[in-house]
Amino acid sequence: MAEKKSIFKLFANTETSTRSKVIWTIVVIVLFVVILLGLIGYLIYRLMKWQGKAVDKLMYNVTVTRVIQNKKHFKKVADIKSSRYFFKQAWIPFVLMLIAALFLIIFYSVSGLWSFNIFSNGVADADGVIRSGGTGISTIFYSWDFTKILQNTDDGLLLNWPQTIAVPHFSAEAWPSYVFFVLATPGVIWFLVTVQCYLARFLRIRKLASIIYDKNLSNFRYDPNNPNANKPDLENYQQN
Amino acid sequence: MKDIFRGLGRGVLYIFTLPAFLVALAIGAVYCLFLFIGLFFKAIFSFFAGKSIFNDLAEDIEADEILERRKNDLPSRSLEGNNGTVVVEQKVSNEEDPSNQKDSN
Repeated sequence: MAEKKSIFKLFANTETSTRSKVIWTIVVIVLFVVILLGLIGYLIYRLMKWQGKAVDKLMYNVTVTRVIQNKKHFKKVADIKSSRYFFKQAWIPFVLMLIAALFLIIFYSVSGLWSFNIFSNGVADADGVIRSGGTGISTIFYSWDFTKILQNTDDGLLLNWPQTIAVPHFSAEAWPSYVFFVLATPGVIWFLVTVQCYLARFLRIRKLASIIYDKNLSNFRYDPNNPNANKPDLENYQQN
Repeated sequence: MKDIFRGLGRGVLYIFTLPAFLVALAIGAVYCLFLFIGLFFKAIFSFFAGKSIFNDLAEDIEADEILERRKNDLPSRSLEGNNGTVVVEQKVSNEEDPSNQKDSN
């Protein structure tokens, strides 16, 4: 019975020193990627905090003049203002996405090419690599086959470089795909950024509402000897 | 070194929270798409009714009136301090100012 292969035999036939070097290299790369992800995540966190500050600007006057006196009212007004602000921010990316979609619909209708694939990357040559043709956006990108990077051999599990499937090339047939993606990609990214801003404001509104209209009984003392003990203390009363 | 470990910790944390963030973003995107379409039609109807969806809310008008009233009624007062509270500038006379009081003894 053949011995069961496992990923632990990845470096089965390598020299000990080379093996340790490779392992350390992989560990360093993994740590670097994790730290990089941490920095990117922290950047997004700081960005969302900064984006949420727009609520302070929108709600400043109505809050400091005490026109709004409870949490529910604050959330209602802040949500309306945040939605309007989102509408102002999102109309340009929305129009871009709309134009891209309309362009594609008109192209399909006029040409009648309903099988036109906006992602296809062409036809492979004799060596299996795609270098020409294609109707999709994939024509201008590299494409690799990652399904065969791990090979189970008698010497152990081997890690190979992925095989190239397609090399970047311009295809005249793919012009509708290029036009569509040139319009749609910035539109979608821009729209997602405005959505992120909206979510940041959504969180900030809830946080501010709980801070400003916080009901705190820590400093409230009931003193039966006080002549006003039976009277309600409405000085600091907050609704809702 | 401390920053490196902090970055590493954050990285591990964000790897686990990334799917939740992406799900929230996807749900938010769908919600915002409908919100935008709703506001778009509301803006059109408001336009033909001679209004705008960007008009001041009743709360804004009330707040502006209060601020205007304070500016007109109390010219010697500054409206807001750094922490958002109303600050009243008081003129301290020479007799009341403790720094001007001389020790009679």
